[in-house]
Amino acid sequence: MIKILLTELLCYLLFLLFVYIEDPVMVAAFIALMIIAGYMLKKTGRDFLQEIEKVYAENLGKVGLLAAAIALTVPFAIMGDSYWLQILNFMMLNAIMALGLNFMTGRAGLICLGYAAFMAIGAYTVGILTLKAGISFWIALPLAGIFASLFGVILGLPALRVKGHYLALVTIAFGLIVQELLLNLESITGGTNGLIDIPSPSFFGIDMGTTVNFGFMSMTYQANFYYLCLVLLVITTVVLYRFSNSLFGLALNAMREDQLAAQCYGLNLTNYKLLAFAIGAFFGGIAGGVYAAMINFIAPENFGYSLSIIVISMIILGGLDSIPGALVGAFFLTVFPEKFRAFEDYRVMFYGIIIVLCLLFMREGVLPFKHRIFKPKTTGGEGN
Amino acid sequence: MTIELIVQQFLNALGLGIMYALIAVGFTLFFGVIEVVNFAHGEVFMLGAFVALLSGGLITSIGLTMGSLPFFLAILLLVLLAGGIFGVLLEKFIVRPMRSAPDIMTLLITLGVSIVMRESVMLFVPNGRNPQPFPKLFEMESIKIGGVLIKPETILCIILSAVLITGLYYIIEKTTFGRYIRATAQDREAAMMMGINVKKIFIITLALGSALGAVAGMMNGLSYGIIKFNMGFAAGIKGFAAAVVGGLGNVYGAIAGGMLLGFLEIFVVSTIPDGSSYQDLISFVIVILCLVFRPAGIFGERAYEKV
Amino acid sequence: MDLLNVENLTIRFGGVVAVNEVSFSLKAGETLGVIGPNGSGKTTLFNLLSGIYQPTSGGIVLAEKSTKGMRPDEVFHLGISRTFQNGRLFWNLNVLENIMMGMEEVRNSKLFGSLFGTKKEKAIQEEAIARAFEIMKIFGTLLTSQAHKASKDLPYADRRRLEICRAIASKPKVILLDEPSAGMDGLETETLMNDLIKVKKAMPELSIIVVEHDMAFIKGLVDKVMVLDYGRRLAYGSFDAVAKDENVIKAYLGQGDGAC
Repeated sequence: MIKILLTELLCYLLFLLFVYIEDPVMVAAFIALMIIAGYMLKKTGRDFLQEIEKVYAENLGKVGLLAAAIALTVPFAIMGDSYWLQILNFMMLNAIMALGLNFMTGRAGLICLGYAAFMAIGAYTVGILTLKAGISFWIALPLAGIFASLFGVILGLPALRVKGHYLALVTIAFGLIVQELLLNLESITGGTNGLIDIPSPSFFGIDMGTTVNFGFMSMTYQANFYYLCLVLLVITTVVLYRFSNSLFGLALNAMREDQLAAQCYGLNLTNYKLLAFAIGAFFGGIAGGVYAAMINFIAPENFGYSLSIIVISMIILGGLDSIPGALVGAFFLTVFPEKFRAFEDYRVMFYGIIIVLCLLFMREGVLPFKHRIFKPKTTGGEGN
Repeated sequence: MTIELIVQQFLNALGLGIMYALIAVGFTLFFGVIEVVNFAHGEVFMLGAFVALLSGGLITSIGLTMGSLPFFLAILLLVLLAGGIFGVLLEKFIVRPMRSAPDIMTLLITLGVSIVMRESVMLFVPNGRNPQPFPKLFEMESIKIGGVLIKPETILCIILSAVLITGLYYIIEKTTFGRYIRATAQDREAAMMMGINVKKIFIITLALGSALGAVAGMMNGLSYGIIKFNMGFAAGIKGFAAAVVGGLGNVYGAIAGGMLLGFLEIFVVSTIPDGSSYQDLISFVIVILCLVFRPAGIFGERAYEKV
Repeated sequence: MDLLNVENLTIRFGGVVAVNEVSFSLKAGETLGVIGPNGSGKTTLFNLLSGIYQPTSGGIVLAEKSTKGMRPDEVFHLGISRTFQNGRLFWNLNVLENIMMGMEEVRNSKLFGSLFGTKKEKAIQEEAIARAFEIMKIFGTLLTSQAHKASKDLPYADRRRLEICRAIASKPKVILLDEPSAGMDGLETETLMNDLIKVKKAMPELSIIVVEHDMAFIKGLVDKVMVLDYGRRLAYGSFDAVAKDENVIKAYLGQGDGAC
């Protein structure tokens, strides 16, 4: 227990330090130091790392609870800095998407290079329902997820018959087609200009688009969304964790490993594939819905191929089929580029380089969670 | 529709189709021989165009005048070389290290390479974000046949492509190397056991396919007079689509697929009102339909999965 | 009454007739050996029986239900499970999980239960794990001691054993074993044969169809034999009858008098 507390607090401190350093040279030095430290730890502290991993794996509930508790304090620790609150909000939305994509691609083995389309569907659902139909955000949001799921199934149908690179092509095409549709159906979606002035949600009478007053401190509206995103991220993580670590998750893994054998052992591939697409897409829709209400403005160009690539790079960095990996990948690939704002132009190239380097040198990702779903309780011989 | 318009559209379709065919051939070679899907192949198309654009100064400095035939041939040679070298580097640094990894990862890594290439051109070529006018590499006059005005660039591209495809045919069917390539494509292990240096074959295949793709890019620049850093993206997808339609691994299928796609696109653009905005979409939809109803392509063989 | 009835089963791939008018039947508890030279259509026959291929003509009837038009997963539910000639385990799953994948419970698990970790779901999981261990014990401690290992990390012979465990896990009516002793040495093959006899004793209603090249293995295990050659049924009957069959001797040893 102590170990968990100490390691998590250490990470928290490092994170706060990272947020506060301004000078880009110092930031680069900090990152270099971290990489070297990580590398040395892997080389010399093998046993220590394994022990930590074991403690974490056996106490996931405590780890999560503590992390959530720490997360609650972050807005105060960063003094309500609205810029960083916004970054963290984006990070959490990215994390929700990464988890959804990870479920589809990592767990079920269905490659998807058009995930941005699901975020787009969610965003436009909330945008259109709240802006044009005056429906409450809290009803529109789950609808955003459901609608995205529907599109997941629509993608799933042609995808049923194809595998591997063919599937990759179909998913890219799907992402592009959705984007085209959003551009062309001007009367509903506003075309290239998108939707503006999407209303902020109101929570028990409080408009989430205004400043928050904690009494001793007040923060800009991003703080409202911080807590909303945090709740949604926790729910997403728990839900997908449960789905993954169940007999259902096991079946998806079997399908990923060998579709033909899985079929010969009774798996109705159609059902499982469509379910995987639907569930994975749902969370993309949720992330999109929150994005729309937070930024109050969406346009088709926000949800293009680049975004799909960014989400894929997050799960590659984190490790395919790893929930902590997806979280870590989303964290690093959202937070780190922010420190190098000056190099904004190089952002997409950076993601491409990450993909190439990770696959060449660190194929399993930063945090491959090798924990199998069902482990035998006793591994000794049981006798004849 | 006047006869003039029909002829022009026909030539456009031919030019477009043959460009897609050249890209598709690369994809199909890579898949058939090396069993990889190279998502960076679309970018070699862009590379070829930009090499042609940027090396004008180099060529004139060695004494060739811009617009003359020798000038054009020099540029062509440079483009072929650039494509070939790219293929070799790709094989050595990307494809070979990923031999042991699952196919999905090779696909993703080539995707990463394509992103890096695209962004690099956008960032490092002067004024890279904007469309670049493409120079007239070969001064020619418009030809008039029976009242129909024909762009000389289109004819040049068609002739060039015909030469390249004939050359490819000759290499594959008539030379020893071609035989080795076909053998490796059929059964890699048997080829190795027969003493074929499969590693070298991989390098040659990647170099050959990439060189063709690079020339296609140059031709694109010639035909449209404008190139942009992201031209490889759509071209890559369409080239891959054409290869799939023709049956992955089947070189003649790839050529047929490319022609088919080119003709379909021009048909849609010229007959459906406001068709040009749907031009790209058409390819994507066709690909999806093809994959769903006839995944092995029009000319591909029905491959029964080895159980 | 026959459990499995195959009549004039034929499949054509373009110009090649891989399986040609093959007929046989199997009672509950019977074991059939299928032998024949490579390329004689044995694996194709298995692919037809498990629903991977659809026959060009002819029919398969299991427990009075025709398998016409059924997908492999539907055939599995009907009661046929199989192993694969080249071994098709779920490589990154561990031994325990591979066997669990053979069980009905895995497919019956409901999403709701997965999400909320209901008692029912937990009970299903516990039971599945316990049963998997029971099945592993057929091979003594060989698999139980490695239950946590990924199946790709198992030694070759254990992989074949695991495939058999997975096939039995669903309590099928018929299992198809495709060259189970391939790659095993003499001692391992004999052990395997004895283990299969144990399985037959434990599951007397189970029918087995086994493709093999090892004649001693076949002789010790089967009730009757079918010989295939170029997709056609060459002989069908008891082991001794088939061994003496003229056509079989010709096919295996060539024309003329005996070997040298």
